[in-house]
Amino acid sequence: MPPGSTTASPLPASEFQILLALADSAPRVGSAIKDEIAERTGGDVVLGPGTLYTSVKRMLAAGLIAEVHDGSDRVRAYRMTAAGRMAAAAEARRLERLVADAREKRLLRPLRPA
Amino acid sequence: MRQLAAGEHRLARVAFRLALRLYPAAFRHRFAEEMELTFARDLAAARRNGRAVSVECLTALWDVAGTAARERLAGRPPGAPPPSSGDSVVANLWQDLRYAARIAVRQRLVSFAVVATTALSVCAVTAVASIVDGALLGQFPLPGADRLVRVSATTLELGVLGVANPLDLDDWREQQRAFAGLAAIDEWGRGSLLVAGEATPVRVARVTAEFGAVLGVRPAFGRLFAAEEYVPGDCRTGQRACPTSAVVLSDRVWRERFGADPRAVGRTVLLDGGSQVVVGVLPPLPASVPGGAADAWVPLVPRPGTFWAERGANWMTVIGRLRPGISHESGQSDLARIPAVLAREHPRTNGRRGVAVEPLRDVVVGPVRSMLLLLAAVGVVLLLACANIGNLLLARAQARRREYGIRAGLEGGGRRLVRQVLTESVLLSALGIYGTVAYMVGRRSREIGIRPTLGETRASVRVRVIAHAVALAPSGVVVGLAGALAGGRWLSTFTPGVEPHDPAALAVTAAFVVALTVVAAAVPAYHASRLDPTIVLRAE
Repeated sequence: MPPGSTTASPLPASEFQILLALADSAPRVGSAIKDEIAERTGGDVVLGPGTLYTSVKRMLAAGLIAEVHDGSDRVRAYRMTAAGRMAAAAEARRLERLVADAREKRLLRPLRPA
Repeated sequence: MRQLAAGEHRLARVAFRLALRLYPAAFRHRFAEEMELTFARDLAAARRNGRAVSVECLTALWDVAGTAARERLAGRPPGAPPPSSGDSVVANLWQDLRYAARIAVRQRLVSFAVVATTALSVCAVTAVASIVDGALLGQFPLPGADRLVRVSATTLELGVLGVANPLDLDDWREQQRAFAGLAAIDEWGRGSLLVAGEATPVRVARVTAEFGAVLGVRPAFGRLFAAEEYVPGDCRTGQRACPTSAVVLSDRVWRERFGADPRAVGRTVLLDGGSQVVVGVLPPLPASVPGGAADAWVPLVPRPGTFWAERGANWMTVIGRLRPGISHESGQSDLARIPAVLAREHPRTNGRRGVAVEPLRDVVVGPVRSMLLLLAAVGVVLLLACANIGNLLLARAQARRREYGIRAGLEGGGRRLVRQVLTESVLLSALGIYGTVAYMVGRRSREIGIRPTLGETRASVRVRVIAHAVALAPSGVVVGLAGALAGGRWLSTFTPGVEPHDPAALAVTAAFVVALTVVAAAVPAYHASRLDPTIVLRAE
């Protein structure tokens, strides 16, 4: 397991996307999470209702997100937990290392110094 | 227009709500409402942005089906309430399937005996049936194979010779009315083909101009032989093209020696030292057909001063294609007039010679009647196997009387019990159907592998294999329903008040068997459609 990682294996892409959608915002309901992902990825990633809610179920069970009730009892919103933030950061670092490897192998252009 | 859109919207939401039933009950109770809300928002957004509601709906349904299957496979989360007895059909079916699998594993001996007996007997029947099928139903992958015949000379002493004389053939051609064409083949033997300095041993066949038309094959590339390539002449004079200067290559040689290069046509090769121009490439032919096993074909050219000038020897194989609607018996009586005339004209050579017309399938596969007897014998073996399986299952059912009784009492009726017993049988059947069709594909891989090269698409190969399996289903349905009627009566002794003979249930079961057959045959059918003709032919 790489240092700093909180999960034994890479996060599924859908779960990472959901964590990204919740990373810098107030709690969001399911459809708002879906919209944020579609908007951020320019429509490349559109989670279907089944993928969205089976991911939500797994993430609730793993403690990566938590429910927030808005009082109406009909609509639940979700927020990222501390464990979720750590998992998302670990996944981002993992991807960062992967991109660095790709850059080293000249699959990507080298970064220009700022 | 707006009404139409609203109707579509409503229909999509109903379909989505029904699809949600695929999820386990616990998941549904927790998330269904949110999912419906999200879906309704997606539909509204799709309509606003001018996207098709139907596409949005189908995408969502596909997503639900996939994730529901994974959710069920992942099992229920710990602590979730078990589904109530009135839960969805899917949940019960899943439970029944798992229970059936557990019973099958626990009673390994009985399960093994049932599967092994089914597999052995069905494989025996399939093996014989596929040969008979090949013999009876025109399974040479050649168009109009049922009209192909072998025409040969007969003598009083030796009967059917299997070969014919070239001058007799000329007379048959002139006087016959029943044949669309008669072709002669001389399977010349082995030769050596020199391509780019490398020699390859090849089987060579000499054929007359009608070879392609009679068999109904066209070259994959190039052409067959032209008329001038059959003109007798002397190669050494150089005044006209050498009569044997053209060669048609087999698919195998073309792939192995020319790397499947279409530009092979037109190249010059050396065949047994003689210079030959490649004029065409034939697709793979059934090796059992005369001339079909050759690697190279050259024109069968009349050479003055050789065999052609004499009526004495019978040495070449003649195959004919009957005109549509003409039986081989009619073909026989059409040609039977001729030997008497020839006997008068050439009493020395043709005095005791007759002619025989036989279906090519009989010649290649053997007499059909004995094949049918063999099939009948193996059919009896299958019946005995069915009786044995019936006994085994009956013995198992007797041993489980106590379990059935308790379950009938606990589960408030026999329907659930009947469904459980059916599920167990269906599981064994699916294994049996899968094994049978996979075996059939394995047995006939050569014939199936050739089909795509003769113009059949992969999809149609898949449909053909599944249709073959479905064609077997009615016999299974008849036997199965008879068993269900008898079994239902016996089971109803545990379930007073439950009528076991529900016509709707029987109809649904019959449809289910056909659907099950399609599903179980799908994997072997897919494999069949991916067979590579070059590999299956090489394995021969």
